[in-house]
Amino acid sequence: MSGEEHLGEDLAAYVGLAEPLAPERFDRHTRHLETCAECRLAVRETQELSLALDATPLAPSADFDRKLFERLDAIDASARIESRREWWQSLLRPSRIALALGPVAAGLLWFLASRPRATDEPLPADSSSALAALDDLELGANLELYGDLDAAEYLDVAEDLDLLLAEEGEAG
Amino acid sequence: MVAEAADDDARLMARFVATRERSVFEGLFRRHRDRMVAYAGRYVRERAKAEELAQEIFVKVYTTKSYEAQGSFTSWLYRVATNVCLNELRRPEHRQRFTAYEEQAGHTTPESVLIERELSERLDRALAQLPDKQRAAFIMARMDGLRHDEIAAALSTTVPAVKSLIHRALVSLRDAATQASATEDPKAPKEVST
Repeated sequence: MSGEEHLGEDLAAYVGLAEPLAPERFDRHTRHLETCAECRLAVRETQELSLALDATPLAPSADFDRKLFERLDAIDASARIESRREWWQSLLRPSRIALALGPVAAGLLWFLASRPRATDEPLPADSSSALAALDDLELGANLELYGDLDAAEYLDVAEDLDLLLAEEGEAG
Repeated sequence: MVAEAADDDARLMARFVATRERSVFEGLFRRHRDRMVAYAGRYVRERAKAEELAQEIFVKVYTTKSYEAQGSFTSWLYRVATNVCLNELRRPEHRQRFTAYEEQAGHTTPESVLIERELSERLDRALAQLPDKQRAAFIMARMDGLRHDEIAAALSTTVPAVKSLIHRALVSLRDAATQASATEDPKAPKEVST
């Protein structure tokens, strides 16, 4: 840098309004100022400006922290509510519902498939009502067969079936 | 561009984002609270509004979802702060609202108080009328003492560009100041700019 070079963009730094200059650069500018009235005036005006701008910085008031932390607490609370809401919403997604109901449905099907059929169920010991029920089932199973017989329409009670079968056997 | 090493606060911020530990945030907050209030105060010059902006700055920090621990936390914080402050200034209701919050103290005469206040208000207006980046760069350099590289990182620009922004801001402010002097003393010689 020659002695003739003006301060230019180093002016702010020279008067302390920006990051300080390297010492050798600062000294060069100082030597330049001895011979340059234009830069001297610029430095003086800038120093006055610096003083005018030198207002005391605003400091936070006493309740600044409390107000901020109340806001942050509210943000946290809101985030928790939102998180719970999203969790519930995620549970109600059709894919999740299908995923959750799949095992239930499979279990139900397995239960129904593996359940012993009525005819395989053991009979309660000496239960006349159970035997009667078995007779009724037998009647139901043979109704088609007996539908071919004219006598069937007159049957009122299951006991008559035995008689009818016996007659049919004799006829056969 | 080579990533800069993270400073201590940058590492703390990364830890806070990962863990959401309130105590980590509080450490950062207490270390930077005063300068953020002061920084916001340079934009709006009104205590209540400045504190509101400073709170907004810290809410943005608190709710940050991702943060890469590299470089200077201060630069990142000033980037957040500058965005918050400039967004406020861009709001129509803010324009042309200049409320001085400082009262001159000491043994000054009422006349000198008036002159100083007029100059201060003129400079406030000149500062407010600067382009956004010029104003932000000047405030960070002058009022907050940030280094050029920190300002460059905060404004996503280069160090030479920062020097240029500060210089142009200074020229505008000097013009405003010398116009004020000329109004006080019509016979004063016209200024020469560098």
